[in-house]
Amino acid sequence: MPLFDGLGSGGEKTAIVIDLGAAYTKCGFAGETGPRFIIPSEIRKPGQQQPVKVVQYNINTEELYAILKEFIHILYFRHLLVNPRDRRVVIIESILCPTHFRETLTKVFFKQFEVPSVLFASSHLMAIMTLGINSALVMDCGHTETLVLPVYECTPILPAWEALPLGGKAIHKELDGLLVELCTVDTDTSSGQSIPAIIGTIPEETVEDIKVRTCFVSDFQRGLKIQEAKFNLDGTAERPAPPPDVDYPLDGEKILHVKGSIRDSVMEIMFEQDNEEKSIASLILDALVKCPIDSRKVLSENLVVIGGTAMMPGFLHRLLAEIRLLVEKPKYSMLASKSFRIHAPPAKPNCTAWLGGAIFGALQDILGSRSVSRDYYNQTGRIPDWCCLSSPPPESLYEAGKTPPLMKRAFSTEK
Amino acid sequence: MSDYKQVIMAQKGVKIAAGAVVCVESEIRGDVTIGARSVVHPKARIIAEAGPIIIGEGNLIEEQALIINSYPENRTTPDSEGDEPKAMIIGTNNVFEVGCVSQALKIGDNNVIESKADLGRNVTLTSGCIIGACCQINTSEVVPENMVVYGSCKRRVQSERPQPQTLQLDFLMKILPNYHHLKKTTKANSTPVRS
Amino acid sequence: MASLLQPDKVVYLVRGEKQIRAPLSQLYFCRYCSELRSLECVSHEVDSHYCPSCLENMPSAEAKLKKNRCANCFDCPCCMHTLSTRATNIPAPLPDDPTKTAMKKAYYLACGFCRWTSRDVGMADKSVASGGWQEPENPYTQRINKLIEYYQQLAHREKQERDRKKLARRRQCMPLAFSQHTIHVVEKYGLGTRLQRQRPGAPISSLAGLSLKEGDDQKEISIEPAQALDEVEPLPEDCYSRPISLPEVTTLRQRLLQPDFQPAGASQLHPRHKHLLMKRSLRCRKCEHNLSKPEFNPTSIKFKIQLVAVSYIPEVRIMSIPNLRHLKESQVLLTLTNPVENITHVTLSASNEEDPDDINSTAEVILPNKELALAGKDAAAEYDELAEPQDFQDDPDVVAFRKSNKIGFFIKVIPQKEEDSDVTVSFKIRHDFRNLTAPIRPSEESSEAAVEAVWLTHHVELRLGPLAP
Repeated sequence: MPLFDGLGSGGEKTAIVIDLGAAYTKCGFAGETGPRFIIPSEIRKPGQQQPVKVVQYNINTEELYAILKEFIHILYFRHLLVNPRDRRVVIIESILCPTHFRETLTKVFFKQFEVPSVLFASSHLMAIMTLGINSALVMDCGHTETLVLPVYECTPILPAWEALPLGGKAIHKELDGLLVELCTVDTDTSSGQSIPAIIGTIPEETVEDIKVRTCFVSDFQRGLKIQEAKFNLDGTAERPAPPPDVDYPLDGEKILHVKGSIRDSVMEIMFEQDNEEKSIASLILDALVKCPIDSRKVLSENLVVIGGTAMMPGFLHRLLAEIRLLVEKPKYSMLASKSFRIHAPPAKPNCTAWLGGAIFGALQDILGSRSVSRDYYNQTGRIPDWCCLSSPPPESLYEAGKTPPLMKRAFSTEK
Repeated sequence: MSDYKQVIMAQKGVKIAAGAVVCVESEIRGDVTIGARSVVHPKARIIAEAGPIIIGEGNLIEEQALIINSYPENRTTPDSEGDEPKAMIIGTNNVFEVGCVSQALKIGDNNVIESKADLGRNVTLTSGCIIGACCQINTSEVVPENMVVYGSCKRRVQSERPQPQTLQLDFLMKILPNYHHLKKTTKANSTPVRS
Repeated sequence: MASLLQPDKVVYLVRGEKQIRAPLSQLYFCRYCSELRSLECVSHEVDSHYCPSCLENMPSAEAKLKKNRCANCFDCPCCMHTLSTRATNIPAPLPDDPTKTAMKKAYYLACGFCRWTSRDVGMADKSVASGGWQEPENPYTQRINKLIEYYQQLAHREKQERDRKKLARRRQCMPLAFSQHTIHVVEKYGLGTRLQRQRPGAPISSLAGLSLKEGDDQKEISIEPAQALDEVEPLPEDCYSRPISLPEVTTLRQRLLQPDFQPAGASQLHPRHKHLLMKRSLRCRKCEHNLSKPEFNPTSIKFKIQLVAVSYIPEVRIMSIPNLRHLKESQVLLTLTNPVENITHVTLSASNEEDPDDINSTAEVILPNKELALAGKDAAAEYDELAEPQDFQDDPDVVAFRKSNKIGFFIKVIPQKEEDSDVTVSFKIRHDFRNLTAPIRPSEESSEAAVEAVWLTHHVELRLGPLAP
């Protein structure tokens, strides 16, 4: 960090980069190689056992404002330890983020924390900045959904986006169902009890922990056999031998026996084709089909997969195998290029978008002119949407090249 | 094991090997055997209710620790069916810290049961385990070697087992007799004192 | 005790950007603006950094350099407890005679909570007690720095271009005939249209302009674009058959504590330097004066500046509440405490019908119509038995008792609503305030003249609990 600190134009302080994910928030400073913190996107209220999720789309503005304010307060004063007024903010957003959420978030930053400027950057676009390439087919496999967006010559091909609500949340739901249905619990006095009889429900953190520590994505051949056995009700299809069971201690009194058959099969929901023959692998091909014909080859040879769910062991291998099989289908015969190659970004998949934002945030020459400044926000009271053209370009409001009013205050305590 | 049992059945009562330091203020009931170089603090309780308790050498049992061989739940009297009373066997160099409760029937060597920890009857501790402060283990399982249970019953395995508390034992053996009366050691049948 | 244990029984209204009702004990008073401030309407600032483990102060420049982490303290990667340094003696071969060994001091890190030690993960013991421990570095650092350099060059070029254009007096930016529909716009203009690029209103497409343009004359940093891979490593074959041992697999929390590595195996957990905490100062948004500034020393819990409202504003407390009945008049005994050293004059008045602040009250209130005088606070008076009580000639119908700087007085409450909700009354409290420490204003008044009193009015709400059954 010290290398890029103060060397930029005008001695501006490094920006803050926040990737506010549905499950986890990544935060840190521009120009660094990784986020400082990855924390659950939730706040705890005094006297309440259940934490409150920060990323909620269907609650009223007032409530959302209060939640976001508290969460961002914690980000600044617990984790980043900097003055909000001194630093620009880069927010990594999904292109599916509702305007209502976006506007409330902007309001919190400008009104509550008085940050000098805010830049919303699409996670897909930021991901390719970590690779030094201009075109890629980016898949973000997050908590709530999997979203595919092709980016060609640094421009998102918006009409070609494809999404499915398959992500960490869907896996948790599936895993929870399987655990309750198939697994047993031992207590000190009895063994082989069903889960609802003993503990009722399994908390989501436990489900997540079981997913992370015991589950994996089977390879393609094995996955096919598992799916066959699952949907073959007369029992003719043989399931491959499941991996060993795992004894998972829930607390000091109960031990959950996690069946091996769950460990290798729970991730199949990502690859099973639904009634419309959609799976996360088909998303990529469907997106390709929608892309201009000239761009397809470049895109298919530059796949980038980001998002925490993509970190499941074996995920990428399976994804690639699935794509290569699906592309042979007649449905995709118009795709001339059948070669698919996948990138390995210089960060873990859950931080890739953040890293792109951190690289972009380090470009102090243009960060100011690309961001929405506080002055502009205070005058217009709104944040321009990326699809909004009605407002006149507000360049006159901040003279390009002029240092923004960062150091307005004479006595900033931070050096 | 069976020899042990016969010996125990033959003579009920507390047997304290020579070299053990057992304070008078401790409460020891039933058929309890305490090995050499073990230290039992005042107000520690060792209660053999449902069967004998055999404590090996070099154990440290601190204040308000409770080691109890109790009847399983729902039963308060010896089983009339006549199934044999189960002996509780505790190995060597274990530490029972202040206020812990142990009902485990088998405890190996070099374990540490920290303050206020609670061990259930169906748990078997192997060796080198640490049950952290306030942790409760009440499952029916064999805790693998060198397992550390800590916090809200999280688990990890450490590479080395905890050191035996020899220095502490030596110190206590020197200091406790200065301030407390000790229970008499039984001459007969005592395990020889290690030098 | 109501102000300590049941703080929301009496709330004061703060008129900030948003109206906030909060107990006086949680409020600040900006004596420069002479207004109440809540935590919502002040700006929070980082004052000083310190390590919560060793309580050492760290200057912010250094803290920044060290990424807000303490140089000496470590966190356990397993349970987040602070690690302690243990010293042992290990036999080491003598340098001059390798056949002989001598005992040598060695240090390692150990966690007292989960018993993790640096030896568990194969970190070698250190010969010095502190400073020898290094955190592993992100393997991609070089590549990422290269990327940043490359993009900075592009950004610089863009800036130059923009500046040049500005001189050449750009023509009107956007034709107004665009379709509102995003998709069209991006298809039509997305591909690096300069005009588009400069529109901050369109961040997505505006980010698009960063590809290298043709015909660059300057010497340029070039990077190798990342190469995509044909194949991805499959899972190891034994993954399907090998039993896993849970304690050897890290939990998600343990992984996320090391964002750069996120190791899956417990044997790759490395201790991290302890993250710092900071002391916070508060500043009035209007006049930019400090409302709260802590002392520098991390071990001190005192403040250099602490303008809490309870030490400036008379505090209303509820002393006793009779049984309240619907439409029946009852007398509620309140106390009023003067926190300042001079006599404060207080008048109470009911809210008007149209008062926009008065949204919660459910009862009519009859207030004493006389001015109440509160004696100044005198810390010594409590111990001075001979001190003569000041004579205020109180009306016994209004003032129930008087004790040093506090009075008890009655208000009459007539609940108007029959519902189950709490009976709430509200009124205005107006009092004089002498700003003894206000900054010297550029006025002709000599500083000798008595400090001018300002009259402050606050809106107070009392929650008196439910009606008697």
